[in-house]
Amino acid sequence: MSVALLQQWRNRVRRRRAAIVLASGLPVLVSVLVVLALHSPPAMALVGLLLIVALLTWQLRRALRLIDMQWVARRFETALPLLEDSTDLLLSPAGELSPLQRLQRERIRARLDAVRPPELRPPWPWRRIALGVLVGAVILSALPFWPQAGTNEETAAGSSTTDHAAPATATRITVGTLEVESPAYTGLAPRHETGLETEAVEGSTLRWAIRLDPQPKAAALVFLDGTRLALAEQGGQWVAERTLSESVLYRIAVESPLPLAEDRLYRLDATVDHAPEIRVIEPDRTLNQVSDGQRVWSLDFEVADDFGLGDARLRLTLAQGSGEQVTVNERSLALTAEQGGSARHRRYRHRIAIDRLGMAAGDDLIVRLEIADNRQPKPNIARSAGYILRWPSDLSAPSEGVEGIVQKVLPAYFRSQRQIIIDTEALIGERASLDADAFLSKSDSIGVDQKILRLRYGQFLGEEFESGRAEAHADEKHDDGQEPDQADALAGDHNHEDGKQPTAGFGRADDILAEYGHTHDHAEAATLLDPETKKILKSALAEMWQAELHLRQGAPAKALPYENRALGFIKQVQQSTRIYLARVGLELPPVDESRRLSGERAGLRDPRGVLVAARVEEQPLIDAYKALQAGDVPEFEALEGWLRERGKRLPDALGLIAAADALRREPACTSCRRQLLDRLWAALPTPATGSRLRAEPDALGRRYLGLLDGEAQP
Amino acid sequence: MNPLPIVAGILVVATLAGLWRTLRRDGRWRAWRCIGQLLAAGALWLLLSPPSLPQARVSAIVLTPGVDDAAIAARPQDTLTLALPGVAVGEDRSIERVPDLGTGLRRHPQIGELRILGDGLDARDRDLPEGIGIVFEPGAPPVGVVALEAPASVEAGAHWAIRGRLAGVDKATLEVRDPGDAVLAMTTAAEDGQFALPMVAKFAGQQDFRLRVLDADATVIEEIPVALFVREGDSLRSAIVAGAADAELKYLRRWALDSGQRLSSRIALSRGIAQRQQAPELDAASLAATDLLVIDERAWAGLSTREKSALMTAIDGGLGVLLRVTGPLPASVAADWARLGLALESSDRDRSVELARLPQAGPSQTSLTRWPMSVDGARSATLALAADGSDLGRWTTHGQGRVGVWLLLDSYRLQLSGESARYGTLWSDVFSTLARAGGVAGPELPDRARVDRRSVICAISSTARIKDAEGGEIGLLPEAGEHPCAAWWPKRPGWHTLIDGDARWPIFVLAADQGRALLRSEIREATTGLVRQAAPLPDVDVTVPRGPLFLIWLLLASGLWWLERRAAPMR
Repeated sequence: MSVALLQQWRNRVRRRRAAIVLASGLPVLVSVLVVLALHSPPAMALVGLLLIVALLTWQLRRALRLIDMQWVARRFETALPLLEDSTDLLLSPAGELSPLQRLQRERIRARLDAVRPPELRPPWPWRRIALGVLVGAVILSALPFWPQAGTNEETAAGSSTTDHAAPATATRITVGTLEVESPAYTGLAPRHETGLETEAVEGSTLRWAIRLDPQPKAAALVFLDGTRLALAEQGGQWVAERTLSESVLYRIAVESPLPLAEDRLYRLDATVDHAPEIRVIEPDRTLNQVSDGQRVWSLDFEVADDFGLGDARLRLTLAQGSGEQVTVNERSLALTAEQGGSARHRRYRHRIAIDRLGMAAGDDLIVRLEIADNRQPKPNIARSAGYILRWPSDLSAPSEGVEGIVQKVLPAYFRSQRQIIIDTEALIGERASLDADAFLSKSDSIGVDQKILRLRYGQFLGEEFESGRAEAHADEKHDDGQEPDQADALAGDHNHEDGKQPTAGFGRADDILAEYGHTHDHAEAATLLDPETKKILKSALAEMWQAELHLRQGAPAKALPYENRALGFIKQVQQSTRIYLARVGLELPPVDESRRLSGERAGLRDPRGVLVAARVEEQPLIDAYKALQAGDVPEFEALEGWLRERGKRLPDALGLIAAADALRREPACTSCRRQLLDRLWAALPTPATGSRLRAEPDALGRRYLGLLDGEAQP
Repeated sequence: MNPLPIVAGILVVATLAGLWRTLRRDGRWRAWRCIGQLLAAGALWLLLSPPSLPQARVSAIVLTPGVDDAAIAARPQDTLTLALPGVAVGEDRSIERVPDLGTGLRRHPQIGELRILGDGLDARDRDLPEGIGIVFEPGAPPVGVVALEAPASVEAGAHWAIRGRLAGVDKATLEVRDPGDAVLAMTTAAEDGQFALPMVAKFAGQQDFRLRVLDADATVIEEIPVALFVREGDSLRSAIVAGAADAELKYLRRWALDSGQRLSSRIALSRGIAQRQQAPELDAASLAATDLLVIDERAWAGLSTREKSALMTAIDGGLGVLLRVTGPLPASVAADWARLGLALESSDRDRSVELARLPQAGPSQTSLTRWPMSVDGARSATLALAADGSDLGRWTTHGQGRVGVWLLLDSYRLQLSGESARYGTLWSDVFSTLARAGGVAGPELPDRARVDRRSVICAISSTARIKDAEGGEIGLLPEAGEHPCAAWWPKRPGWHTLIDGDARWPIFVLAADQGRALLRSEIREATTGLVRQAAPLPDVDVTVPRGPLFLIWLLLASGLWWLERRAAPMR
């Protein structure tokens, strides 16, 4: 009975102590837990929860460990002297006690039942509990002002509806994605990009999906060239679609009272689909002679393209006869690739049976490979150089003794002006049967031939060879992990060595000059032809220019008279079948015989022509660079205007525009300024070397110089 | 005030009082107790002012940063070893750590020779007392760029070069990257590690290049910033007077105009007919407003006596003149020129020359032509050198001015072969050498400033100050005198501006961790220069350490105490 009493008190004490621990600890711990749950990653909140549970458990254990029956018994004895320190006896089993002890036990039990048991439970620590509650309340009330650090965007977005009460000050782009669908012929899978910048093949379709917060009334993409693409709203997203035709910069414009938080230029890079690249393995030189008993001429071409090859045709031109009695017949045959090639890399081998073509001594056979790729809408067509197989007629040796200075020139391609005329006439005849596009394209291709011919003649006059492939910098862009381009395919490996070669722009033109010896652009440097021939050739070139112009415009009838005149001039050149290499570069103007030795000086004046400082084309760049170096704000309009108009030949005009735009929007941004400076630096021309004034000597130095001079006088 | 006499007095008085007390009272062993007291007082005195004993000079080992653990372990254990800051010596009690070498020498005056292990002594520790021998045993050599030479500033458009030496990297490639991260120049180091990277300065301004060292696997070993300040050229007032037109003049005038000179020229074409551009008059007033006159022998032959004398006066007053030889010299012209200090003689030198390999650039393949004459070399200096070491022109002073003669006929071929920067550099050197003095001598800036290391800036005024990129300013305190210099400890890396009056001079500061190998090799070199034999030094008096003295005093005092205690019960 009395043991039960003790047990009852033990339980009461334990409950009280546990309640005290919980009441004083929980408010603080729970509020900390709430803060953790709201403002830190879930993992952290979980760890916090575990820690709190562990702390509570430990505190509880500590509070309850000592409270057992012995403890209660001792407390009873302390509180009630009449128990005579004998409560222990109640806890021991009766069988182990001596008779005296049993007697005492009975006495104590009776007394215990009689007395009013003492209050053993500890009192409530009201102050501690109040303090805990207070601290918890303070933590919880500080919750809205808690810094947002450590929250990632998803949780912020998730909780923004619940507790983000602060009003937005700017329109934010919460999600911006681009879907890139490359043209079907490239075989590239559509891809999905997060971010608003990308690099894609020319002709790709881009689809924007942008989420704005808060929703504006309307939004649009404004491109650098001034075009505007309105964004349409679809289920909370702003979408638009555009075909990428060239590299471009754009920004997002919103119609909303709140401006965009990050209003910057985004960049879309269009990668160009290059024309196939042809490598001729056999024949290994342009002009080949038929050897004795040769029956076949074997050809071997290797072709690579970046996105897949189309049809290949071999164009054969057989020129028979000599002098002006040349008949040319042309045919073309489709080639089939060798087994084992891929869509991007093929090899064509072909053997031409010479006699079956009807070739005889004195004839020239010219072959050319034409290959298209799969580009849509218009394939790129690459043509190899013409390779000539010549069946030599009885060779006439040049006159004795003049081998050194006489050179037989005017090789086979000089006949092609006649061929161009024939083609043009044929085209005019076919006009009725062709549709406009085909007509234009045929005319254009004749124009290309005319251009090639003109360039070849131009070489004799010392003009630069303009091969016109403006893709010099395309190679710099490819990174690892991108599509291997054709140069790699040709090289047969995939060994990227980006950044190994000095790719910088500056000094480059000079390097090339230095490498190839001398400039052709200086008219004096071309000494191949005598002035008379030169003059005729120049006239021929002028006519070819005009012919090419009309051919390219699809007006072969207009081109025909120019072609004929050009042929006339060429005939004149051909009639002087040899040209002499001039040994001296200087041709003095002819002497005016009428005044010669007369001493007549009337009418002589100082010549006109005052040297003016060269106009530097890149002046806006230089001005901007100087302003930036001085810490001023450059003239953005002038810079951007220049870049838009003339920047095409810079390696990265768009990057420069973007950098200028970034600084314009944030004039205080030092890194933007640095970046613009660095980009400008690369685009600057190299100026003429400046000189320095040496430092003025001081008094001592001047005196020394004076004395030195006096000493030198004898 | 020296406290020792007072202490001595107190000690004597106390001892006497003690003796008197002992003798006055009865007790056992009085004599012993008196002797004991005297001895204890003596020991206390020695403890308070320890005596010095002469000691022979010893050798000490100094561990400096860069020393390897093997060298530390292999040193003779019984030798005194000092470790300078930056050496990790762990818990080795036999090594004494000192904050600098001066502290070590003060603590151990008996040191007569220092054996220095590691990279060597930093500037702080290099001022060593006379007579101390120094042996330097450097540790593993630094890996990377150990010597680097690049101009701090050049003119826009000029050739310049980064040159240096690389150590410890096999088959290394060096490349220079421009601020936009494009590779501007690339080279491989020679067998002995030497390398040179030719560059062309572009536009005026502060430019940061980066020299990157790559090993055979194209891993970056080191990257050092190379900062260049490109100056805009001064606007020279030059005049060209020529007796005939030629290609050389065409390109020279083009260059002069494009490089910002105020050019006037008169090229005679026929009697009374000339091509003129702000035609220069050869009178005193216009010559005084000209910095450099370029004149050839044909034009000289046509000068009037008045013009010649005006020219002579102008040269004495500081005008620079370049005499171009374009053909055979008439005797009268040769005599005039000899009077200017340039005696020319016909010689059978090679006409065909190549430009000397500029220190800044690779060899030029362009073959040029020189008029075969030689100039008396005794009173003249070389203006430009050919590849074979012969001169293409010489110059001398005449009064305050300078006169040069130029034998090269066709430098324009450099332009034709695409070496326009080289052409510009060649002529810029000639013009800068000869033109009238009018520039300002700038301050002497440190070769390579580094964060937290002392740099010295000389020839500045007392108001000079340095501004860093963030706008913080620090004043310099030049010491007074003819050649005022100030020391500066940069706190931040990057561009700084020295502001002295209205003039601004950019200074670039390397970060502490940039170019470690360079710094190490500089320290090693400086330490190698310190190596010297120990002079026979007299023995030094070394103070006896206080520890043993204290022990002696304690023994005496406790013996005395025991004696007094035994004596006490008798009373």
